[in-house]
Amino acid sequence: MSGFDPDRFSRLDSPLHNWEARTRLISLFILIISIVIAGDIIHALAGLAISILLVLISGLPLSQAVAFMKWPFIFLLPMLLILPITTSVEPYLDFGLLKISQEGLNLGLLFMIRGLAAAFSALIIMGTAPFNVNINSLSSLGMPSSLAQIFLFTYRYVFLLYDELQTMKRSLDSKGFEMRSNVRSAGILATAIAMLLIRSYERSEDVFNAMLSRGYEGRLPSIQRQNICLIDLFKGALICAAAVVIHFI
Amino acid sequence: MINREDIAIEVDDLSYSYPDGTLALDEVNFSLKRGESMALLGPNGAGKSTLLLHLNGLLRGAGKVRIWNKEVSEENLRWVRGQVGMVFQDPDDQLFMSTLAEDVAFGPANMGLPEEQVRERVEWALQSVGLAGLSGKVPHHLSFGQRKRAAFATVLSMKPSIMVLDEPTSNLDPQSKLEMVCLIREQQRNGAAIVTATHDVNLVALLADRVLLLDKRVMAEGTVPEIMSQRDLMDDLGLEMPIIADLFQSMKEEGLYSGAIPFKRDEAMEAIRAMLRM
Repeated sequence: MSGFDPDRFSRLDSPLHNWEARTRLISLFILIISIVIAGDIIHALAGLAISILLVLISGLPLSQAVAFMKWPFIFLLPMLLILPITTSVEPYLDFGLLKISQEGLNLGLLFMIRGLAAAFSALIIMGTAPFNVNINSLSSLGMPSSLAQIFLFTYRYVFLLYDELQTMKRSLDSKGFEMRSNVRSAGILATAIAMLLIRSYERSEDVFNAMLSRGYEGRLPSIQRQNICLIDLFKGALICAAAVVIHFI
Repeated sequence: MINREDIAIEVDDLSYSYPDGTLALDEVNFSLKRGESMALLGPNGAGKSTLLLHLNGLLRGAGKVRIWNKEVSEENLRWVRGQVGMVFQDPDDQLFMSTLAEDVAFGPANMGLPEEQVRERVEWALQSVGLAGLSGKVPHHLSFGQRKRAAFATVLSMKPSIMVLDEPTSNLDPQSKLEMVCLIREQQRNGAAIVTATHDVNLVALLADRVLLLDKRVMAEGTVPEIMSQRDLMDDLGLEMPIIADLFQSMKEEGLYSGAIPFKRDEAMEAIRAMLRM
């Protein structure tokens, strides 16, 4: 039994968790698009406020959500730092040797806020339904079946890979292996990773045999179909309205 | 006189070599009737799993494999896979979908059954293996024993007339092993022909009526008492006799016991009671 569980928040109970997957995906994608095309900081802040409000409604732990934001923040930080000193549009804030463009600062802040708001919305998509439900919904919305299968199998077997990595690490530890910055350590690590790849290849053959033995002919059947109710459409309309309102504040 | 309609599996002169030239099966012959349960025993590398893959049409060697008197061919593979349900040794190979229900539904859905019937089969199969209520579970959240039973359910839901099981009791605790044996016997009572590859010699008498000893070719075939009481034969293949049979065989060799060799606990108890009464 694996302790690795990225779907742990998908089992919460909230109006966003109870929402039919396809309408939820489409509505939140519209919100994300609306956020990323926001033209100024005020509109982007409105988008950020709506995204945070949705996180609160979803019941996802805010501390975890904020902790997750460090990754998009790190990714966006260079823009916030570089744009103010590379944009050559007046007026400047003059700090002696350092001249900061007001326009560049605004642009950097806009990118940062838009990025964080979009990441919060993406977090809601990932945190309010299991990964497979999202992928199956995307598949029923037109994503190519082969792509959906790649995502689903990757997701299914990443847990086994994680377990095998842990086993291999324990095995290395038990034999007194300590990671050092030398050629020997690199060689041992490379061998271990190569072994994992070989095992993955062998497993993929076994899994394919198991699929064939149960009549697989290229398509994955799905029995997780959920009907769209009026309340789902109402929730969708609310999110779409919020996506429009952002631009009229 | 054997009625040909009752022959579930017939293997004639089946040989197979792996792409690197290693001989895996050498002119294997055997047949299995409707409602029979046969254990496939042999040392590591004897070709047990390779033979099982042929029964489902996943491998195609030289020779003939017939399922219900139809030779397995490219044209009837879909039908063959509907008839022969295969449970693999590692449940993680068999449970590839995101939820247990999807995994159990995979076979029936591929058979083209209507959605309602697929749902009924999923419910029935999970109920049969004692996993009702776990249909929404993600496979990696199940214990190993549960995953073994889940893998069984994924085949059960196809209601195959033949079941082919590769080490179904390996790595299970004693209680789970007995539960698995009960499941296998239940399918046999329902009329399925069953082939079980195993190393668990102590369970053979519980899960099968016949034994096929394999070491690339068929070394011996017969009922459980006929085969499993031959110590030399088992030793030659690096196998061992079941512990109860081994004990009584030793007593027989020393002249302490003269009856039939027991293979099950109840039979052994009866034999001991008879000895004490003497």
